[in-house]
Amino acid sequence: METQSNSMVNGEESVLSALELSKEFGTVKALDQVTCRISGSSIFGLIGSNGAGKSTFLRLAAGVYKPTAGQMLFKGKAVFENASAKQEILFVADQPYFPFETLEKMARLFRSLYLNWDQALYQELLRVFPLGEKNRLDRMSKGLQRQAAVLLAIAAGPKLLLMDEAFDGLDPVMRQNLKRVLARQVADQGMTVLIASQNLRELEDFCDHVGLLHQGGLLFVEELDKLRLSIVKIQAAFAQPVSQAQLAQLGLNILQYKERGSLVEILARGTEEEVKRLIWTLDPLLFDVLPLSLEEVFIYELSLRQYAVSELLA
Amino acid sequence: MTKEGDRHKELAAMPGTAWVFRQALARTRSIALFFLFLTFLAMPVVLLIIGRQNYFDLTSYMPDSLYMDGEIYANPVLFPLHLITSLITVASVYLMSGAQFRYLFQMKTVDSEVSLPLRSGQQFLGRLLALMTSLALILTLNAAFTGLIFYQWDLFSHFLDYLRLYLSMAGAAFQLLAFSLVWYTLSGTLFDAILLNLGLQMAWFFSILNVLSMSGRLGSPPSSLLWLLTPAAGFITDFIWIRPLAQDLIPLVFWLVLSWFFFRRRPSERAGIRNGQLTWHRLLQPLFALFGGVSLGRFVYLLFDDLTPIFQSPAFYLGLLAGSLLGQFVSSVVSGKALRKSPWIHELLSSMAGLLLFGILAVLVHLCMTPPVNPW
Repeated sequence: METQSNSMVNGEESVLSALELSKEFGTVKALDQVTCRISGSSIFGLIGSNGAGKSTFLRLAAGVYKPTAGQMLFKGKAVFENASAKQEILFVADQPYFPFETLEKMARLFRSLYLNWDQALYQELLRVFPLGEKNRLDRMSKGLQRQAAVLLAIAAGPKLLLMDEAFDGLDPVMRQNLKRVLARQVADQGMTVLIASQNLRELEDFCDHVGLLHQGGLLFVEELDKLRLSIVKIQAAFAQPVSQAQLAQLGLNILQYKERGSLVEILARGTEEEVKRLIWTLDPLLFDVLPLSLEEVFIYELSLRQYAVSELLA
Repeated sequence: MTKEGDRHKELAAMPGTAWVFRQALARTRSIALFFLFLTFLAMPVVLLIIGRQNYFDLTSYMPDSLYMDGEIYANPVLFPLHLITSLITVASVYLMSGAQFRYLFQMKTVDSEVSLPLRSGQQFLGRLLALMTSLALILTLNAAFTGLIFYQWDLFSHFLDYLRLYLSMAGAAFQLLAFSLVWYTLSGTLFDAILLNLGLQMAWFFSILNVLSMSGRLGSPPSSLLWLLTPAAGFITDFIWIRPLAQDLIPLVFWLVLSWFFFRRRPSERAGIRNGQLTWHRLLQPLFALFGGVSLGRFVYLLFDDLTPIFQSPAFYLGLLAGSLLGQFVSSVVSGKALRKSPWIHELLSSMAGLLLFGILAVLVHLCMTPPVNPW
């Protein structure tokens, strides 16, 4: 889904642009003519089930894969075989790999390799993620290895951080720490984060934008707040029974209607104010706006596009 | 400073081939030191243990002819030491090149290495230079210490005589290194790369040896065709036939250019894919059909029909046909080809290509080479 026709997103140049991007592995089409643009200083969540093409997209963005067709551009320049673009792109893969055995040695390697390496930030991150610089990385758990990979990647000062299943193996405290650190880097340093995950819930309190990949195609790219603001979930109780048809006659665009005794649960399209105004005309005994999960938003957005959600999300 | 100037400054500061070289050298430092230690053990340390007097006595009382007829470029003491050093050098070439390029065979290492801010050319050159430096250091230091011992013993002329063979081994080592890189850059797994590397050399060497011998053209020295796809053979054959430097240098440059070419074009997604599933592998399979055909053909001929001239023997041609099919089948199975999905006509055509190759080689050998002169 193309958000704008040129390389600008909301008036600013996009950090990462995929233009008609395709990647084939023999006869398998992993990505098929994907076009999307990711603006700077944002957190973009890329979701999809296994084999949807998330990791392929990230590898193309990291310059690991060469596109079969189309282009993957970082600040307007092709990423593949572009060493100066890769100076500003860090990729934390699903399975981290460390050519040297300790974090200290890895930090030395990164310091000599990345021109934007921030030693002060590295020291600070070591306090947030207490890994032990001299401990052997290959003997660490998956979660600790992931923390080490993320720590090194952030300290390298990237403009674009690519993370595949970023929170996999992290305990809840470390997840929150990581989210906080990333959010701060985005706000203070203008970093852009692209996270691929199967788990929608993991991303919902964290991303600005989400994109949904399915069978190599990008079905959907949307700003999260805009998505959330366009759907409202309410719970209400009325003195007299109110049918779905009555509510629809009021002008309410109902996506889902459930009755639980005297309580009704309504999912409706529109802003909170609009829905509230319409419901109040029926003088409800009880009226509550319920929190809406990203998963619920997706379910309704995708059902509008004729997709069965169970096929798309894990 | 202008924007353009800033850009140049930034580019100059960016890591490149020299950075890769330093890192690659650091990564294989311990393995290179290990092989240096082994070569020291195999030559200078053994010489010191033997001692000057024993060495002198052994080389005086044991003539070269005890070992082999004709000229041999190592005296009876240095001959076994050189053989062991050669084996250690072959192992060092395989292990050090494997250590430098094994990252190509796993997706997690490819993710890490290919996403670094380096171009593929820099990655290749840096690693290649590190490999060549390590190998050159091992061989040079070993030669230097050995030379020093001979100098101390006042037998430096022995070392100078032997140096010719040692340099020839060094040439074969560098050629083997370059040859190995071609298969590392083409293969999808480390196992397949090593298997193909060894298999091709064996298949070529024995096929050509058989063709030359069957045609009565196995001279001394034999045709340089023998070493074309078999750089490792030089480690053994150099004892008797020292090849001119160009015979090492030209293939060395050729294999290096070829490996550079393949490396630059290698898709990252090849990591972990068996060679049998890659298209280019089909082009090499006729060599295994040739090997299977010639070997089985000759075996059947010797078993049942060795009184008839070989090229007129039906037993030979039956063995040749069966062997080419067997060679093709075995190479397909070993390389991980999905035989059920592979059309049988492809397998058959590849076997036929092996037979055609045999025909071409036999005709070329007959037309272009004269039989060696029999001294008796």
